[in-house]
Amino acid sequence: MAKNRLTVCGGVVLLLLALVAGAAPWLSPHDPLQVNLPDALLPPSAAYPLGTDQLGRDVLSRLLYGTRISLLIGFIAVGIAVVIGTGIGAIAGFYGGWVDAILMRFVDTMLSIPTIFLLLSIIAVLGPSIQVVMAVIGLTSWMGVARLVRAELLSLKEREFVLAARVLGASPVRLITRHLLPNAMAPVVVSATLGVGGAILTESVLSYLGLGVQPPTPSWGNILNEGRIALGVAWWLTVSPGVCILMTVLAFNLLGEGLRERYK
Amino acid sequence: MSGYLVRRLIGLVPVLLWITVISFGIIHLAPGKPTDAAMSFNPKVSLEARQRMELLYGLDQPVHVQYVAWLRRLARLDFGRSFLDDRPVTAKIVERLPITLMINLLSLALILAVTIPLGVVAAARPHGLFDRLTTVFVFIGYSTPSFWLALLCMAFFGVHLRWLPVSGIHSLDHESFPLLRQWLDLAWHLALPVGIAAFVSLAGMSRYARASMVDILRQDYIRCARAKGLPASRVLFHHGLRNALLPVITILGLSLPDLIGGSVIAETIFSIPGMGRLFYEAVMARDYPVVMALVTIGAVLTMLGNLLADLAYAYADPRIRVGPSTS
Amino acid sequence: MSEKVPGTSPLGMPLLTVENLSVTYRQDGAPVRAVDGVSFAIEPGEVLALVGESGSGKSSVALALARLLPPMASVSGRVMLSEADLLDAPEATLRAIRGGTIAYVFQDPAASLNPVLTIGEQLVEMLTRHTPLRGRDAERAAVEWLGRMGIASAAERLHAYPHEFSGGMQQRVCLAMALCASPSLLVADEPTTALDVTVQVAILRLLRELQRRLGLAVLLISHDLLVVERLAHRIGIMAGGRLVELGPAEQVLRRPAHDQTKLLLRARAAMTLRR
Repeated sequence: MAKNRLTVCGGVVLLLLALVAGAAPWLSPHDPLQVNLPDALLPPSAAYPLGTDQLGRDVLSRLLYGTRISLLIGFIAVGIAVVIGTGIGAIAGFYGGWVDAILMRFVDTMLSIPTIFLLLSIIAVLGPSIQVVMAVIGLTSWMGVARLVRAELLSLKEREFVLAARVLGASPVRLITRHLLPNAMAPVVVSATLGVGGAILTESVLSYLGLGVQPPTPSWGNILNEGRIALGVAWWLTVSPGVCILMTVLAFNLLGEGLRERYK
Repeated sequence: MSGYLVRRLIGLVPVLLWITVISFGIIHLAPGKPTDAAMSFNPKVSLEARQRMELLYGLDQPVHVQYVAWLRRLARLDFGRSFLDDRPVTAKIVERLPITLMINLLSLALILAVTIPLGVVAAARPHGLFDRLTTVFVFIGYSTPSFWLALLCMAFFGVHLRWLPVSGIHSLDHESFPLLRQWLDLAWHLALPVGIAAFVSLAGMSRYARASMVDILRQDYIRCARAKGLPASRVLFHHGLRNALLPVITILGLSLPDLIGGSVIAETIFSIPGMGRLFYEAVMARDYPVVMALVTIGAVLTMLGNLLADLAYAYADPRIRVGPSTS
Repeated sequence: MSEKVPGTSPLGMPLLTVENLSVTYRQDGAPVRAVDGVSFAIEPGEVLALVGESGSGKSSVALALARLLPPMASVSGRVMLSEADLLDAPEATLRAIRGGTIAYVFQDPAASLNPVLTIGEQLVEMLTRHTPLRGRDAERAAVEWLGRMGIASAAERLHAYPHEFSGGMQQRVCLAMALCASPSLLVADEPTTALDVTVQVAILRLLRELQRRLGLAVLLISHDLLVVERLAHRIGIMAGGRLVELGPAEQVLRRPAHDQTKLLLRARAAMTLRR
């Protein structure tokens, strides 16, 4: 079916991106950090396939290295979100009662605060850096995972194999980790895949606003930020990073949706 | 239904408390005093102002005492004074609130006007050409960074074609315009920001509207309506859409935080003097009273929006409005 | 109204003739033939029951008559109503026939009623569509029909929502909706299966009474011979998409010819407790 082909497409694109990220040093024609003022704001040419920015740095090389940043931040942020979300969701779903009530109120609260507000305010306090960005995106996107895990556990814990394990005297931790969580992970995988796409989008917004990855480290978002000033003049600074973000996020979304169809 | 309302309101109280804890907690995450960062970023703040602020906020007191003091001021809607210009935060926010609300409401209207017809037509012929085209469009839209789209629109519509303005909400000489022209001028300026602010939610909502409609059209009562010999349009709208709107209302409520957050980007890019841009500027200048106030208000606005959506749902669904059977 | 005897229509012609009806569902995998070359006729005023196990294709036959199957189903054969082949007729004709000539009652009355509209609105909608009645007149007619279905305080109930009724009452409402346009044929697809046993008896009794009083032709679909016994003039047995036996009720029940029929009868006997 066409849907399957699209999912595979997404997966292939991601593999390519991972390869590009890994092989960035060998694929880049120039040093992404090399400032070269005489060559500033040049349109695409043989020497500079995607042109140069306002400091004369090669855009293509910066984009290639930016792939590393995006993928790194995306995966780690989602990793954090999954760990926190699974933990909170598991506790809420397993113990139920007032523990569940309090935790879910907390989740509701986090969901009420506009994400950008949370992100920006924490970054304002802690100062922008790659680590802060990863942590902050992770800290603001665990809620969906928590709800998923909680829902799965609530229904799973009444099933027979759980009751059997309980009768045999399994401890709560063992019950959760050995018996319940492995069965609950399928929707989490889907959510995580889609989440990486979302994390990359968020990072690009933050970097664009100047509160994400700080220059000179290249990130697709901050290349767009630097290109903003030359908007009417140097279109290559605006078009290519955006296309990179779009393609990457689209690939993760296609893959995630495909996985969702599979696991339904 | 009044019982439902009361229960919902009571349920809001713990959430409100959590919001204040989080807003307060974020600012005090950093080592040192909250005023330190503001000082280093903003040489305009004099030493006396700094000492005054420390006393005012009781920054020498233990954290929980500060929190309670802050809560009490919140109850009086006193958000303190801005570090930047020493004006009351409440005043600064009130100036900007109408514009942001207007942008958000217009975005909401745009979203509804586009996604509902789209969802209905796509669901009427699932997997048809329109449906598939829309799905492609939605997927791409979902993956596009809105700020990038804003930049492209600015470059294309604003600079290249010169059709739409790219900054502010008034033309420079708007004072001299007759009233109608002032309104049109405003609309003209708001076209791009509203479009961008709505954009991301648009993609997600279209998918949801379609899914909801497809789900409804599979129900027995739709088949029954057809078996009654009713025309297709009546089956689709009178029977189908009225039911499909119910979950759409819920999802609209859930997408409110993103809508409010979306105005940050739109206002910053298009230089709109709204709450979103105030927030951005406050963050850049480490103006913590404003930041804390806006996080709290943003969350409360979302909560109110959710409440409204829930009430609308409860009213629209007779199963909740009228209650269970009385026979 | 006099009790109609099957087979004595003024022209001596059957009301509905189904010729070689086949239904194939195309899903993601291989196409599935749910109905395979089924032929039968229904006389005016007669009750024809189609009995079979789940998956025998009986519901598909019922839905196919008025082209109510989902788009993934392809239908072949002929369904003759007077001179017209319903499977070939334009959509506009079908819309007039649905409800006006051929009416349906489905298995789950709670799901068949639109939850956000009052039953009054849903009844009046039917009357407005198929009769010249409008406004107050339509409302009054609706109240009358509800009364005929055995619903007390019908005038107030008009403004109630489906979820405020019990299952049995909901099915009575569905019957009212189906019959208020005076159709010639009622297709009842498992009309009592979703109801409590005590309620089933009441609904079946109501159905029998209405059929006699209105001279209604009924195509009764069921998996349960017990349900069909009291009502049917003729019984058709379906298995694997085919009509394997068709004959007068007495004959099919007492002297079954086909194995499938014998199977169903034995199952039914097994359900009756013996002392």
